[in-house]
Amino acid sequence: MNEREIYSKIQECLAGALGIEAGEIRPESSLVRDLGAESIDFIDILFRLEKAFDIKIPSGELFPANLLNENGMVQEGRLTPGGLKALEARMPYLDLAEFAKDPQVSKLAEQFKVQMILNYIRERVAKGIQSPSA
Amino acid sequence: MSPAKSLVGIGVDSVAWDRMKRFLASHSFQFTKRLLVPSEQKAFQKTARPLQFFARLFAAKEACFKARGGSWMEGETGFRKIEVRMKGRNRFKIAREFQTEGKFFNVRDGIAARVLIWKKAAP
Repeated sequence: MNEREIYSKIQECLAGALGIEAGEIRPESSLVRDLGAESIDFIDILFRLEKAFDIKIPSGELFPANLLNENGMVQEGRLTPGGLKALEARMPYLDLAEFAKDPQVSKLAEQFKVQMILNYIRERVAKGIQSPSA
Repeated sequence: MSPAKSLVGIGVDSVAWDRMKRFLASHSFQFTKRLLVPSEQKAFQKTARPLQFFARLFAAKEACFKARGGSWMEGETGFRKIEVRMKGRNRFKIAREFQTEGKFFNVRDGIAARVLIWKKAAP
């Protein structure tokens, strides 16, 4: 599967989940800020990606799961330097350069962009990891 | 006399019928049940009104995340850490919490859930 095919499938998944036109979706679009995604949309997106690419996306691999509840990760609503480092290690697909300037946890979801999903899926496809049932 | 308690948090969430309808139309029970604990899965399979039932469960779990200070980002395992117990049509409790008080409200285009969670006060 080439890059264009992967991106086109991701666009289809996002358009279906968010009820928008595929043409509105760009790599730099923030799922929350630009495309209006809410919690149910993220779950919907995960399920659609799993079906479209025949993969299982473990909890916390594409979105940061329990990390924010771990001790020492968050202080006064902001990720600590250790928390930022852990987030970078846990989510290498996410570009944190902008977020790191003011790492308010409440703004983290705004950093989830289409490009992040593309980076993640591209790597999964390259590694050829299939779902456990495949 | 009831035991001393302190409030952990209050959470509110709402789900639009249209959005939930689209979600359920897109995913089979095999996918949907990944967000539910076994007791909820059983009840969901039996209900005559799956849309209303699942929307209530989802809103209640989201409200619980907010009351506890967590978030949907915990993913499906986070949803499965919360067991919602319906109490009649408009009330619910959260299992394994010291004390909870949940209520559903009809909103213009969907359903809203509000939950208060208490813990036992330190002596």
